[in-house]
Amino acid sequence: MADPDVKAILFNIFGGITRCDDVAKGILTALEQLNVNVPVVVRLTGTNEDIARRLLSQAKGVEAAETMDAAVKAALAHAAGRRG
Amino acid sequence: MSILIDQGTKVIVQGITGRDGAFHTQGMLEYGTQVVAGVTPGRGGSATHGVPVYDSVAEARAATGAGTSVIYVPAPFAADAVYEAVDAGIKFVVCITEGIPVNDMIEIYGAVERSSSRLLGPNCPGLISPGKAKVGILPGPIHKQGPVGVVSRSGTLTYQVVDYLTRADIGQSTCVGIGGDPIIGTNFLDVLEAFEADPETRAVVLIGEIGGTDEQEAARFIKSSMKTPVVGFIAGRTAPPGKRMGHAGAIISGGGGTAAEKTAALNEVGVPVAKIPSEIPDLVARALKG
Repeated sequence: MADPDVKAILFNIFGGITRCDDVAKGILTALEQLNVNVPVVVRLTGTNEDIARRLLSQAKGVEAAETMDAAVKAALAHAAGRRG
Repeated sequence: MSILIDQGTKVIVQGITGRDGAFHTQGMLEYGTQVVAGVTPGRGGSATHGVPVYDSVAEARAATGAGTSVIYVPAPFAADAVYEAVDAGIKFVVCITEGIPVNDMIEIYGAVERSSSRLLGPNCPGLISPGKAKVGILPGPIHKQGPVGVVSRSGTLTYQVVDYLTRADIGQSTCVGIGGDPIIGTNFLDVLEAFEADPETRAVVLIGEIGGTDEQEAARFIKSSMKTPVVGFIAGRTAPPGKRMGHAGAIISGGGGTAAEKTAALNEVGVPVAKIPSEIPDLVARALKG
């Protein structure tokens, strides 16, 4: 968040050893503790992805994407100011 | 057929009583892998997920006759774990552990080269022969048995590509993650050679990334020694020079090791290279049609 050039943040996680619910909790903790004022796009697939999506659906300013390509397009659109 | 592992492979888990070791032992057992023994010094005589634990690899090997081991030991002890496996006569050692110092790896590399053992990794997801066995941490359910070999320097990117292939109804013979460190055991050439010799593998996906010259060497090997068609992908097309991209070995240094160079080297020997991972299934389908 210290970099003014960052217009959107994209998380792309395909969980192998990584558990998606752990990742989601980490993202939520970060959003709580930091002043994140740019859109966040999260794509999570893999271990415990359903729990992860449920956790993230409660957060404001977070868009959940189903596929990597969709997530990249969403993040680019946010960065270009085409989405609110 | 498949390469390196199948339903007959007997596996010893080094570090089986640790958090990651125990978790992934369960995953391997659920996938149907023959996990016959675990090793944690001082914990001999106990059991993890019903797998008997021994104090040393030598004991575990003597009791079970296993020829493969997988290492989930924390980085400070992982080098010793590799030596122990090689000393005990394990023929195929898969090291998942990330963070082994390069200095240690230089010595390990030499020791493995002088032995008759093969090392996969470190800092790798292991490998899977779908429907037969997995040794490592790859998510089993995304895979499907079939004719395509996959070899990759990146774990997560492998899963992504395999997921695309499976969704396109293209199965895999064996998927091998060789690891993202600057010094690794088994490299692209070793795996390509094995795929070329496997009658079940009818096409290969090679997933490379910036840094080093492994993909260029793979291109030379494909030209000189392979009839099986290969499809490529190189991660890091937009990577800025001098910046490490996730893996210790993924760095454009001295202007060398760029995605453009690697793509050109592969294209030159007739290997199509996908610009984004989602293009891979189409390229593979074309390769399979010949």
